[in-house]
Amino acid sequence: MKRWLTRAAWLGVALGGALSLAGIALNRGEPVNSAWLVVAAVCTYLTAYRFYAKFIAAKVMFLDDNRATPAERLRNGHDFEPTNKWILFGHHFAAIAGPGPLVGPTLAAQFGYLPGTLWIIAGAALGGAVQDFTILFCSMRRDGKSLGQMAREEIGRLGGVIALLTVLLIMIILLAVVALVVVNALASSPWGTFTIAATMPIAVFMGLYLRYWRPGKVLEISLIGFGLVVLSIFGGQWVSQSPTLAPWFTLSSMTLAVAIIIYGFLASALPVWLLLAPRDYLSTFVKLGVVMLLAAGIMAVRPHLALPALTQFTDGNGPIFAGKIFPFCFITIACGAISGFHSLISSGTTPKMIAKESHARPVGYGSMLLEGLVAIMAMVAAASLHPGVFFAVNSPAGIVGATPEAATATISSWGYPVTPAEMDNLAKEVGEQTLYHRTGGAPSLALGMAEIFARGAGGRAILGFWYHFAIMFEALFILTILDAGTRVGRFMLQDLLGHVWKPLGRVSWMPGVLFTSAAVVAAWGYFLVQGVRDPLGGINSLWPLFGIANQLLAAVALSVATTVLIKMHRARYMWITCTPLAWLVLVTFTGGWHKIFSPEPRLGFLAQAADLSQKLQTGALSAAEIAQTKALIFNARLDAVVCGIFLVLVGAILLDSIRLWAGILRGTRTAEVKESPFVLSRLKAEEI
Amino acid sequence: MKAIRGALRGIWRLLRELSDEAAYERFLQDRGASASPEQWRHFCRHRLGAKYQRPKCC
Repeated sequence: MKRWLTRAAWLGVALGGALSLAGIALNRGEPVNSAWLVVAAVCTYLTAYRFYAKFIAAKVMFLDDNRATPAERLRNGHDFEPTNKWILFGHHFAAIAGPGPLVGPTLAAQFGYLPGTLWIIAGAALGGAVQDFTILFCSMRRDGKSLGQMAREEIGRLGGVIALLTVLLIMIILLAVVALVVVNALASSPWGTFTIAATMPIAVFMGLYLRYWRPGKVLEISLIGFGLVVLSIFGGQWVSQSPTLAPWFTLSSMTLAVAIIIYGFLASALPVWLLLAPRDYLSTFVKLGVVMLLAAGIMAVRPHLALPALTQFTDGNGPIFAGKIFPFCFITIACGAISGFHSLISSGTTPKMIAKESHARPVGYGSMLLEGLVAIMAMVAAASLHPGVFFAVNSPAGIVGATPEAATATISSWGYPVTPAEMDNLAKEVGEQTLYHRTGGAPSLALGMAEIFARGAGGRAILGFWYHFAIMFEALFILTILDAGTRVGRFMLQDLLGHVWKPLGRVSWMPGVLFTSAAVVAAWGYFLVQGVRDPLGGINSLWPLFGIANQLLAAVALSVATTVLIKMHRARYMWITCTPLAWLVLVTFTGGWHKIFSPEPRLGFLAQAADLSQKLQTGALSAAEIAQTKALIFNARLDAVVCGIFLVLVGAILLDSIRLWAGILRGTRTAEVKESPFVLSRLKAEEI
Repeated sequence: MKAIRGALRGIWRLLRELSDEAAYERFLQDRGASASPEQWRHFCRHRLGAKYQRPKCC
């Protein structure tokens, strides 16, 4: 009887998901409630977790709780420590959740809410979660080895070198693009700039408090730090209304970019306990708290979706970024569905903390599904905005026109009516001078979140507080990625340069630290400045480049996972990793090809360079314009080269993998599994 | 009531793990030491040094 009831319940969940999906996909001409998106995602994810993930765990991986995990065998109280599965689930989720699943879906909403939503639901269940789960499994069976080490051991030396180079290159593009998101959110915004600037002395205060006054009391100081950050939001409002102080914090995009570059350098070179670590603690707690708050807000308010299911921009002429729905919707969503970066977390800290092998399913597969749900919430926040407002905030001046009149007229002509008065009122309500041309996704996401929060608590009277609370939340953890990423890039560079000249590899040698920090900051800073100067807003070039790079890293991870499955004699199940791998290769290589060779100047880097060269040859430009155009031509060609390098690197690792797979399947190469030997687990339930 | 208490205890343990307080406690237990500014600095050198050599997710 109980068995039948369980089956009936799961049938209900599956049917609920199917009906919700059908509802959002087929409903036309009447407003759709956002709750349908959430129900469709939750039901699909529950079904995928219960059946697909369980199938992979039981039939493909043979997860065995009698087998001691690295956390048990190598237990040292630091890295290797058996941890309760739900605590590890939260720990892993906090590590994988970044700005990608929030910004990507917001930008992809230019195609309408439907394509992005369907991809987030399907991509996370069949691709992203599979990647995270299989890489976690592979690393767990190999004493917690990193993706690079596994690529080297399982595929070959070339695979390891390519994985390292790909990570370094992706990180540079990632840091540039997230920095650009912050710059575009804070430009000419004294309120936002003051609030974010205040988080730096607050973090230093937290670091000193932990070091000298109350060592080890991280939760205590994090609570104090959060209180101070909330106070700084009120302080920011006061500053923005002060005729003396407001000009000090009203900064141009270029000034902000330089400030962020200096900050990145300092954070990378200073001791971690002073700035980076306290900021990271604060950012982690704020991130988890706001995600829960947004989930509660969406369920309480259940806003109607104002954006249409599909917009006319599926044809590739979207104002936010150029490119057709295929492949650019998938590249833009990136982390919300599949993120190559997750494979670095799944093969880093987490496998060293898993107490029992069966925990890999909730931790690896389940955490990614939760991240997919965060991406759905971001889509809801963006799609619940008035479409005219959404496009006015996200479209660059180079596309819609620089003046409010021109921008609103262009956007209204697309069928999304909006007036300068509406935009002015909204800007006033959130305490900003203007909301036009704030490309990057963060401000429109903050607006969507603020509308939801305000309807849940406080009403429109405190819309400004909620808007700046959301901006603070986004900027806080983006800047944490920036400083931690710069530091990691520095270590990678020191590792590489240490082979050339030994002192450069020493992390305690200050000239080496300063030189490599400056080199990493200069690399991402160059792309950041390029984005700030770009008349098309920067996001048009940099976000697709980041998306392609991120998805290519996922292709590397899935190649490693497929190799391991074949070596484990599970070739009959290789479709589990090969299907998302084939999709990623198709999407990224098509996207990369378009970005390099498309004849459309807004889309193809080389066409853009050729178009600008033609303008240069007309001789109608002033001296300043000539210098700027020459820089833009160089940047477009550089972007084409970077994109080409990504494709060549991943193409090489794919060919190397396929050669190996064919050899093993034909029997000409041995399938040597590099797993750690079986040791019987003696870990008792009460120990975890 | 028991379930709520369990959930709250779980959240508290998660917060302690995320804040490295649980790791610090294990560190002290392993060394048979009690909390002090010196021990915390020693812990930070190992823990934070390793933590910020790994990339953060996007």
